[in-house]
Amino acid sequence: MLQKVRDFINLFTQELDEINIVANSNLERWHSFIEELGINPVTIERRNHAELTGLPIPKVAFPSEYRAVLYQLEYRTKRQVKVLQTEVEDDFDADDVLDEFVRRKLNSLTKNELKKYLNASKPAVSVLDIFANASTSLNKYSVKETGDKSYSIKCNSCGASRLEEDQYDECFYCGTPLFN
Amino acid sequence: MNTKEELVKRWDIFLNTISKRFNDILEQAKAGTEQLIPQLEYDAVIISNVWTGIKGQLNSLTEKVSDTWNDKMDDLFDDLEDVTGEERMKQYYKYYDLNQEMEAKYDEAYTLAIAIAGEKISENVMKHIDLNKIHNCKQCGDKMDIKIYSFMAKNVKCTSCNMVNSYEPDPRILALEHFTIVPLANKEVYPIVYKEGKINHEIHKLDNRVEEENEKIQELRKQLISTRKERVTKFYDFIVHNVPDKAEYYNTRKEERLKWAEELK
Repeated sequence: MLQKVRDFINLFTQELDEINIVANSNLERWHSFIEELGINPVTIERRNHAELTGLPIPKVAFPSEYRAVLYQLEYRTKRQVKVLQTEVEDDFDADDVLDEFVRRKLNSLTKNELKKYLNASKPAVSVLDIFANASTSLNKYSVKETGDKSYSIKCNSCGASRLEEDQYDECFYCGTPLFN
Repeated sequence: MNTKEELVKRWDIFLNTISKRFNDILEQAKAGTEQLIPQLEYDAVIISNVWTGIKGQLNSLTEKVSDTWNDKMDDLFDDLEDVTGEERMKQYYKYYDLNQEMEAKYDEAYTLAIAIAGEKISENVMKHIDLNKIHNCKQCGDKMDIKIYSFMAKNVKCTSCNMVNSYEPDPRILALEHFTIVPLANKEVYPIVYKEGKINHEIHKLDNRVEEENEKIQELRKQLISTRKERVTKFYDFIVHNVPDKAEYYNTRKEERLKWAEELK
């Protein structure tokens, strides 16, 4: 049973590798691949529009197409795992290996593989790029106003001064509020 | 089929490559920062922005190592019958230790970069501040007792005519609290922060289900609490010493943070 589980996981890994090979090959091969799975390729307009947004667009597999393929693989493999689990439930080692595969790889397959694929599509950023990008913020937030100041607050009505440091209510002389 | 020794060697080579790449990035960042510092006026936002970008690079490297372990190496080690669970964990911890080491090196370099930037900003500000400047009462003209190097606006009563004058410090001095004093406080406590990080790292490597290791965890937690309290005290004492106008505010913050340190779970 343990070998059956290992073979199952190996087949899954090979299938995932195959998807990645095709996703990085050429458009014609990729489109043919996904059409066989019943997934429609995105239109050229949508590709062009995405490029205009400045997002990193992989040369071959568009992210939503890639995600759709991963989702199919994840869904199909989960159904196969359900069947396999009933077969291996009495074999502790096999059950353990299968459980670990589900927990670590299968449950977040689409999310993790898509993230890796998108990260690989991003242009490499060098330290020089980081400094160049940050250069627009040089001294941008430096205080422009300079100099300290002292002033007095007098009553708008009678001109009397404040006589207490914590006087924030009314003028002592005429009762007019000091602050509006 | 790989042997255990081949796999260990492959893993070591990979981790070494990552470590070298990280050190290269760090050296480039430090060199670039050194060139930026003389250009600073009164803020260090550009330094923060640059080092945020460098942190992004560090995160990419860490992800790469994590993916390699999870997707390849873990399974390869698992497939070998002569690799025990303990040996597998030992290989995993090489990645975990490298990660902690890279984080610590980054934190140290960033703390130092921001502190040096803060010192430069302070130098710039002090060139333009006249600490002996006199302010006169707006009512009677008598000289008022005002500290130019202060961090809060205040109301000052004239000793001659009793009129209350309002004083606002130079905004560049006010900005020093954020851009200079706090970074210097962080630099002051960095060795303690490093020690905290190491203790936390050791705690996470132990298994609390194993009695012997659980005892060690409890001992390390006590050390962590006392180290945190030491860090909080030293940090806020430094700030209170340098921003005495706001002593009450920072002392209250210190007491809150000390309580948090005690409540560590």
